[in-house]
Amino acid sequence: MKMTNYIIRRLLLIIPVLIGVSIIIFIILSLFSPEQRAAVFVTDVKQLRNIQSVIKKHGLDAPIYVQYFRWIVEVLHGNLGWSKTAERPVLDAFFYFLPNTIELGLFSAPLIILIGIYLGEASAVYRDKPIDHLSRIFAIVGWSLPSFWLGLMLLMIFYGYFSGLLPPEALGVQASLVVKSGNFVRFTKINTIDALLNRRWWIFLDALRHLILPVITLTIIDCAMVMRIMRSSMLEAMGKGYIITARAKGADERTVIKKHARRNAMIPVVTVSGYLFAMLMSGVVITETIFDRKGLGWWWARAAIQLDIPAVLGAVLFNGILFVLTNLIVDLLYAYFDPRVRLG
Amino acid sequence: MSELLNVQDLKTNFYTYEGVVKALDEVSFKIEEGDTLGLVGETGCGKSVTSLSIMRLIFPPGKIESGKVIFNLKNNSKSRYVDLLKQTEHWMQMIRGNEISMIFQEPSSALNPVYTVGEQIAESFLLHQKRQLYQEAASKIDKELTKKRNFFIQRITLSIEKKMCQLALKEKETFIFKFLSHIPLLNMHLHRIKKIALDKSVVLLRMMGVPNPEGVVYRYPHELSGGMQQRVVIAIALACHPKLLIADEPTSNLDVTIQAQILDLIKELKKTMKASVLFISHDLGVIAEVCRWVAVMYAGCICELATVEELFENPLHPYTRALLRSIPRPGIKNLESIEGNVPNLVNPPSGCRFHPRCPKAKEKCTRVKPKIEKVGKDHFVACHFYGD
Amino acid sequence: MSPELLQKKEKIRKRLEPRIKELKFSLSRIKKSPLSMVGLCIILFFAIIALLAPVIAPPKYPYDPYRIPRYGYSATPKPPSWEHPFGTTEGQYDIFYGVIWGTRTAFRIGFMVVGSIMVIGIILGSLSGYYGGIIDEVIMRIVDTFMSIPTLILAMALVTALGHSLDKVMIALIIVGWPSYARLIRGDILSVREETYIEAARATGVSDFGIIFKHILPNAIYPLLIMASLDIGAMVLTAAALSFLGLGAPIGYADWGQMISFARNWIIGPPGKPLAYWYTVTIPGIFILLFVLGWNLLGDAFRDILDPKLRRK
Repeated sequence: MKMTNYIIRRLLLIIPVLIGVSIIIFIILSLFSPEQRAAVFVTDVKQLRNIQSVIKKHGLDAPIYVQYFRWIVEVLHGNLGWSKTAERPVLDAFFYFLPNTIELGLFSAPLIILIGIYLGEASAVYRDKPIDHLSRIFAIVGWSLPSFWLGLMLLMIFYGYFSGLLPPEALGVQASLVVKSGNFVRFTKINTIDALLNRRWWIFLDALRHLILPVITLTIIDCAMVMRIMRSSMLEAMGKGYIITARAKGADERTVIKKHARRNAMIPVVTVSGYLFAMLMSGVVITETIFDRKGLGWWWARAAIQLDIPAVLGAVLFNGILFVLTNLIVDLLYAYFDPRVRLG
Repeated sequence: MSELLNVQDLKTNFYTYEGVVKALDEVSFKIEEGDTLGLVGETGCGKSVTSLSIMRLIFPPGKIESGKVIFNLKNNSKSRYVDLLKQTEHWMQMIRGNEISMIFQEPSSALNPVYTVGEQIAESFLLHQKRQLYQEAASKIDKELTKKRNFFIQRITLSIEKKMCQLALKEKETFIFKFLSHIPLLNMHLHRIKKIALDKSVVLLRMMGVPNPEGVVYRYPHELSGGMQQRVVIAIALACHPKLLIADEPTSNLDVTIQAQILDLIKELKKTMKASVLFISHDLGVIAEVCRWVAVMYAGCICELATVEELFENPLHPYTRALLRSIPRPGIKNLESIEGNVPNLVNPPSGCRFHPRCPKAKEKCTRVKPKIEKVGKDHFVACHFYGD
Repeated sequence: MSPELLQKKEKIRKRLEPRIKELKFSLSRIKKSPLSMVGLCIILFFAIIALLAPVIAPPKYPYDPYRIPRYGYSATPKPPSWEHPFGTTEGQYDIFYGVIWGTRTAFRIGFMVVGSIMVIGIILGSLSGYYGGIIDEVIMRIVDTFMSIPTLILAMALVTALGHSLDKVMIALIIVGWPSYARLIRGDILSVREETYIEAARATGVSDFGIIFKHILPNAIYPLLIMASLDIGAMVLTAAALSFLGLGAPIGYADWGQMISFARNWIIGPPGKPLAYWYTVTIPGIFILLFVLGWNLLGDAFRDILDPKLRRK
């Protein structure tokens, strides 16, 4: 009962944020002149000659608030414009590029969380021992790395120097031919999963091989953040009173750490995982560009360079919604982990 | 009545950034079976450090330098004396919460906020009474197996449970046993003993005077009032019937009315559970109510040790006298405070640690540290010039 | 000196004395922590390079020192040599010149962006926290909205709208960055607002601004400083990423990110010598890494030092 109230209240709080995001997008949109925006709707060169009629047709000279509401209506109908870099409507482009990005996230997110938590905990429990120092150096260097530089260096070494050991792009030449052919059934459009479902093990391995470097590039920075937060929250938990109680009960060190300290230390980490997703999305833009994986990030980067306005604004909208949903889930998880939050 | 606890010349240091804090300087006292000793002193005089040292809960930068803590592991009238400071950590873990327990000053921070109160009390049972729990579980399973209306599946799961319980009872838990306990369908026995431990917690809470213990057991600590939380902490400590209960300022953070309730509870439990109590407080009044013996502590040293009546009627150490004079009492118009400040224990005063503030200090007091001596039937003092 | 002035000096000195003592303690803690000394050294090293840039790498175009000089038009990068200590990139831009003047660019980006967002954040956060009510609601909704879009993505969108140049990148980063500071200050103000000493100050007639400046800000400034020094690194990283993608500094401008974007085509050398053009990628990247590392170490050290719980360990 309490939980459902909590959920409903959180859902209601989403609405103002979504409205805010849409307003920001629209403000950015308005920074462009009507001619530029009209170019967005043009699919044929001949139409360029009579740009005023295009403007009139799409109502780009109407007052701002009218345009805003019209635009909202369009968005709610799923019409986000035409992306010239993707050569298809924005919404279609999303679903076209989504699988590659999901694949990357699928392999990165668990690594980030597991490694970050493990290292953070080890660093706190074995404070000032070698593993602590190593982890902290790793964390601070990882946090300072320019991810695009790391990606390029990794490519240079593992693709260049070790001639083609871990190549860029999503699939090798042979694998892509098979995947595109009729023999290969696309269940999810995610390479690794589909390869398993089609029982072509070698394609699965090939896809994995192409995933190693991008996943490393993406993971290191976020891993560093999770590790640091876990370390400091673990240190804080270990200094609390209930740890002495547990020891006074006669619990052994392992139980004290695993059962008592860890559960409390995870709470700030859960809170932060919302931001983790935001950082993942930013990282994806760079990583996919470097490794030439045609996912959402790759598309958005090209769109920004080529001034593909609908795509860029679509990116903002998508991320806003994603963030809001992620935060909702995070808040629910937080209530699960910390009983103190469940009341009121 | 035999001796339960004999602390001899306990010395504990803390190696900090600012220097070595000599927290305990040859602290000695005894507690008999079934007796109650109060340890009184100002904040920072080393009372908590004493209790933590007894339980060997001193971690770096602290270190127990020297001394003996002789504890009587009495078993059916056969005394067995052990020096706690010489045992392994593993051995101590079996003792803590089992033979010696501790209750703390702030119940809200002593309880883990993410587990229910019942789970935390049950943990005491699960840590030390596994054998009894498994025996009870086995007999319960037997009873269930005899019931006629059992489906086939139920018979199988119950048999698995019974097998696991028997394995657990036969010898210590082996690696394979532990591994199998992680598989969902095979670990029903764990759920069963948890449930049994939880039932025992309910009984324990009822003994603590907690209303509606069946409901309270599923509450989280932050949902309970301070008094209730403290009762839970006491329940956790007394779950396995310890011989010695160390109460470290258990009522200092509670309202006065609740304080009275908790003190009454402790007195009653002392009788029913036949436990000895080491009661730590800065409040002489509270100690007078609960304890038979009292030890006065100052700057890491025991100044005076006597029965409560003896101490109040005939205080001999200058510090004790000053303490008694500074307690507000009806009719007394002037409260006298003790001149000076509590010393910095990195560089404690030489000789007797109280000499800078002592109205009777003489030259000898700056050089020689007084040893504790028997000066009466129930009276010990550590002072060169005690009395008048 | 007149007696009133002397008196005033005494008063000010008395008031500042405890703060000076704390400051001295902080400085001594900084000296004791090896990591913070490393960070400080790194920053000083870069600061010296930035200051001495005209001396170390004399500009070829005096009115536009940030234009990297070209020594030819060949597309192939050339390895390090005596004339070009770090080699040249595609199009024969001198890497040494680029990274030296790039240090100035980095400092410019870091200080200007973080300085601006601190000011904006403090003002808006203070208004929001102190006055509450509808101002608070409006500002906080704006903050929430901005913080729900990842930094890079929002910056990309803004740069697309405003134009592709380094100045526009800085503006975009400022727009994206101020919300966290506003929220931080607001939180501090909210927690301090109800404290008794604020009530006391109000009761003695101190003005609102006076309260904010004299009482609240000095306490709230520490977490802000920590965040600022960590952010300098983060902002430089994001700006470098945007330049790398081609959204920031134009080609030939002395900016580290821009120089790495040059290197994209040259990470794999000719067969037999795959690491031939390593210097195009590695050198600018190391500069970025060290610069950000220095600020991160400093920020971390600040955090350890200024956290009141850890101070007196």
